Amino acid sequence: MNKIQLKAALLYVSCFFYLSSIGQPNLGEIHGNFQTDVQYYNKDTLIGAPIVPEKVLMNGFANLNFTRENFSCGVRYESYLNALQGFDTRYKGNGFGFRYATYTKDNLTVTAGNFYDQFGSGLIFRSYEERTLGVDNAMDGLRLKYRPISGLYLKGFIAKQRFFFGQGEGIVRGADAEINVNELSEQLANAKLKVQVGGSFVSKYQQDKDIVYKLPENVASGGGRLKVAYGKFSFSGEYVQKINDPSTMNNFIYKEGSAVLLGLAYSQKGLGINLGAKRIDNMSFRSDRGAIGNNLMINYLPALTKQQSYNLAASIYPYASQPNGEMAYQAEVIYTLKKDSWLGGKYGTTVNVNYSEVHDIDKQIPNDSTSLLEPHTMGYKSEFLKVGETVFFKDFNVEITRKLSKKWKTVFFYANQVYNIEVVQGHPGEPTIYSNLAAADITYKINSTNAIRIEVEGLFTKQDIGSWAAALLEYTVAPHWSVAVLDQYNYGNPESEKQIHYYTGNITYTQNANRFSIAYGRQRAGLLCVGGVCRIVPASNGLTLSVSSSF
Amino acid sequence: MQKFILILLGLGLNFISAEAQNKQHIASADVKKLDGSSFNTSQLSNDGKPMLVDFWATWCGPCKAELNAIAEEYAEWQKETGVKLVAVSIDDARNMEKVGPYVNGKNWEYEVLLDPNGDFKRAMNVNNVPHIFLVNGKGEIVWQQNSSAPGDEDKIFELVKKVAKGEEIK
Amino acid sequence: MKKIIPFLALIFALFLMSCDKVEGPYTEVSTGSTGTRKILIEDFTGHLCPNCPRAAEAIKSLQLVRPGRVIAIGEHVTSIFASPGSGIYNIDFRTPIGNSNDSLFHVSDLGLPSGMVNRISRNGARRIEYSKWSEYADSLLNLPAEATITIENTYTSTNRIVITTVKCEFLKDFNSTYKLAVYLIEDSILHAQKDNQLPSPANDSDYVHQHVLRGAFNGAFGEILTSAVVSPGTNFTKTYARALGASWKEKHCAVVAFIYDDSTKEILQAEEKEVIY
Repeated sequence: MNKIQLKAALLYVSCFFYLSSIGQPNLGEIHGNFQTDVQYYNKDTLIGAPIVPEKVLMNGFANLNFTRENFSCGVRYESYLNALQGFDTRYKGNGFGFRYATYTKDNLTVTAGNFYDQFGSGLIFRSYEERTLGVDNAMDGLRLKYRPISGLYLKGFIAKQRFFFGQGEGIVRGADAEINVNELSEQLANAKLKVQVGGSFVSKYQQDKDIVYKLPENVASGGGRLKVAYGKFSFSGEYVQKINDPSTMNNFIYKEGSAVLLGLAYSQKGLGINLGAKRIDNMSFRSDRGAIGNNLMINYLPALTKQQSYNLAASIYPYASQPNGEMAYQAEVIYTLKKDSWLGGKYGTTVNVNYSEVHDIDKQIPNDSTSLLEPHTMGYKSEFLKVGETVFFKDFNVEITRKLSKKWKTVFFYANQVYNIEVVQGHPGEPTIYSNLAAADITYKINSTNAIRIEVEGLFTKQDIGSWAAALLEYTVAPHWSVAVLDQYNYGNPESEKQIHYYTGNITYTQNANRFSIAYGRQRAGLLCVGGVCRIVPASNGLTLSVSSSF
Repeated sequence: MQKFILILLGLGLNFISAEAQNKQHIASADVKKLDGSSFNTSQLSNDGKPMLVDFWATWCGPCKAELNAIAEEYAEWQKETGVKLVAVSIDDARNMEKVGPYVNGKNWEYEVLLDPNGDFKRAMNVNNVPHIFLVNGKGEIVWQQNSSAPGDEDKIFELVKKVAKGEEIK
Repeated sequence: MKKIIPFLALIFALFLMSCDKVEGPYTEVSTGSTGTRKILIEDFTGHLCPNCPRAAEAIKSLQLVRPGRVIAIGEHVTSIFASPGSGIYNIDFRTPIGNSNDSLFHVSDLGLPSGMVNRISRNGARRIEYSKWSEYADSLLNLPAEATITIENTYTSTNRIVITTVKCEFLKDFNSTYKLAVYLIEDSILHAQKDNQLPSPANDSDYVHQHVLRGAFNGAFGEILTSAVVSPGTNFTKTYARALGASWKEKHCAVVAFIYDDSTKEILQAEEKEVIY
C-alpha cells in the first residue's frame, strides 16, 4: 500500500469519525460486514497439492459503510497474508481495495472514488466483484446518475479500473441512457404494454507504446437494448458493437467485435417458459490490451447455459462463455403440477426442464493472403447467421422437486452433457467429454428444528479422468448448527492409483448474521465458478476456518 | 498472529456496533422489478406491517428450499400478521431473464426484485446468499440471518408475529 | 428540460471522442535507434503450452525492429506445459537453471506464456505478459549503455568443449554488487509444439524451437564481478569452459552473458555470441 493510497483511505475513514462523533440523534448509520477464510495446508502428494511454504494462508475483508440521509461513504479493507491457494499472488498484503463517497440531491447522484455499475445486461460494461473468485474490476473515478424527468435515467462516468492494489493502465469512459416509456406519463403508466429502451457508449484509452505494431489507442463501443412486456409475455434484446481492439485475448487481430443477446419469456401461475439466444463475436473487452485471466474486464458475457448447483455438475465440467466467438441458445420450462392430483401428489411437484447448446461461430479466412486467426491481421470473417461446426457445449437436464409429506422433501436431477474441454479449458488434443449426471437430494425433517439431508450424485463418463460418485450427509439443528460430511470419489479413473477419495467434514455455527465454519479435508483440483466466471483451484488438503458477519 | 488479531478486530467491531443499538434501515440502491422498470429500494415498505427481505438466487439450493418452505405457509402468515416477503434475486445477466418465469412457475406470491449487479446486496452488507432481514413497521431492521436450515421458517414466523404485535426482539 | 442540457453535452462530448480505427498495414514504421545497450528477454515456455508460439513470434518481430539488440532465452518450465509426454513430445527441454529462475522469480505462477524483460520488476512482479515486452524493451533500449560485454569462444570438436572468455567493462560509477551469469542456448531445434492456432489437435510436429536454454557456465546465478566501488573503465575478464550435450548441434549453439545488480536482480547489459563463428 503506497502513501497516497493510505492518505486517501485515511481521509475516507476520518469521514466516519467526523460524522459519527457529532453526538446527536439522527446521526446516520454505520454498518458493515466482515469475512475471512484462513486455511492451514497439509502436505498431500497423492492429490498433487502444491507445497505451501507459509503453511497458513488467509484472505480477509471488512466493509464499513456510513449513511446519513442523502450522503454515504465507505471503505473496504482487504488483507491477504498471503492470499489463499488459487488466488492471484498479486493480491498481497493489506490495503483499502475500495473507498467511495456519494450523495444524492434533486435526482442527481454523484459518486467519487470506487463504484460498481452495469449498463443493460453488461454486454458492454459491467463492473463488479466476486470475492470468492478473486474478481474485482471496481471502477475508480467519477460517476453521475441523473433522472431529469420521470422515466429517463442517465448515467455517465470516467474512471480507471482496479488492478490488485493498483490500477490498470487504461482509462474507461461510458455513458448510458434508459427510457422507461411507462413512466413518462400517467396514461402510459396504466398501459398493458411495458416498454423500456436504452443505449450505451463505452470507450477506453490506452497509449500505444508498442514499437512493432500500430495499436488503436481509443477503442469505442456502442449498443442499444429494448425490453417489452405484454401480459404474460416479455421480450428483451440487446446488441453491442466494438471497433478494432487487438489484444492478448483475441490474439491481436484487428477485426471488429459484436454481441447480441435475446430473450423471450412466457409465464403464468404454475408455468414459466424462457427462451434465449446469443451470438458473441470477438468481444473480449478489457481496459488493458495485455490483460488476461479475470483482470480488467470492462464487459461481461453471460453464459447461456444452466448454472448448476450440484457439486459435481457445477465444478467438474462447468461451461464458461467464449469471448472470441460463440453462438448459443437455451430453452427452459418450469411447471408446477397441481396439488392433490395423481401426478402432483399431496404437496405438489415442480418439474424444471432445461436445454442449452453452444457452438462456435462461423470463421473463414479474411482474404487469400492470410491464414485463419493470424495475429496482426483481420483474423477472420464471419457470416452472422451461420452456426460454426465446432460444438462447445450441450446440456439437457431435468430437475424434479417433490414434497412427499410434511417430513420428506426430495429433489431429483438428471443431466446429459457434451463438453468440449479443448476449447473451454484450453487443453488442445483432448477428446470431447460425453457425460451423464444424476443426483438425488433428500431431506428428512425429524422435528421442527432437526433435519437430515442426504445428497447422492454420480457423474458417468468414459473420457478424461472417468466417472465420479459423491455423497453428502448433513445434519442441521435450526437455526444454529449444521454438521456435514462429504466424499467425492473418482472411482472411474483409468489409472487405478488416482482413484482417490476427496473427503471433507464441515461444522457451521450460525447466530443471526454471524457464521463460523470449520472444514477439514481435501479439495479437488478444478474450477470454481460463480456466475460463469471461473478460477482454477489447486488441490489442497487441510483445515479451513471461515468467519462471516454483517452488522 | 496478525491474522488472528484481524479476526478479533472484525468480531470486536461487531460487538461494539451491537452495543451501540444502531438501528439499521433498508439501504438505498437501484434495482429492477420483473417488468424491467427501475426501482429504488428506499421505497420498500409495507404500510406499518412487518416485512421480510430475503436475498436469494436461482442457483442456490438452500435459498430455494427456504422460499419453498415459506411459500406453503405464506397465505396464513399474511392473514395473521400482514407480513410481506420481498425476494431479492442476485442472479446476474446470465439468469436474470429466468427469474420471472421461475417465480411464476413455482407459484410464489412474493414481491420479487432483481439485483443483477449486487448493488443492493452490497448496500445491505450481505456476504452470501441466503440472507434474510426482518423489518418492522417503522422500517427498522430488527433481525437478520445469514443461512437457512429446514425448520427456520417456524422461527421466522415467531419473530414476525412478535414484530406484528410491536414487541422488541432481543 | 434545462437540466438535461449539461448532461447531454457530456454524452455528446463522449461520442465525439475520436476512436482509432486502424487501417492496415498494422506494422509501425521502424525508427531503429542506435546504441550499444542490449536487453535480455527470458521467454518462459513449454512445448505443451498452446499459446506459447505467440510469445516466440513477439520476440521475432521485436528482433526485426531492433536488430542485434534483443537477446532471447527460451526457458522451458512447469510440469503442466513442459514435461516430456508420449509420442512426439518425448523430449524434456527443462533445465535446473530454468527451474530455479522460475521458482525465484515466480514467472509461471499464472500460467504460460510469460516472461521477464531484463528481470525488471513492475507493480511488484517481474513477470511481464508477452504483449508488453515490446514497450518495456523499447523504454530500456533508449537508455544509454552502462556496461559493455565482449565474448570470445573457442570450440574443440574432439571433446565438444566450449571455452568462453567474457570481458566486462563498466562505463560509469557503481557501488553495488554486480554478478555475471553465462548461459548456453541452442537455436533451430526441430521438435513438436502445441499451437492453438492450428486446427485440433493443435500439434505442430515440425515446430522450430529457438534460443532454448541448455545450461550455464557458472550456475544459474553466476558469480560476483565486483562488490566494491567501480569507476568508468573498470573491467573484468572471466573464462569458463563446459562440454556440449551429445544431442546439441554446436553450429546452433551460442553463449549468452549478462551482468546484473545483485540487490535488485535487474540486468545492466547482455551479450550473445555463437559457439562457432
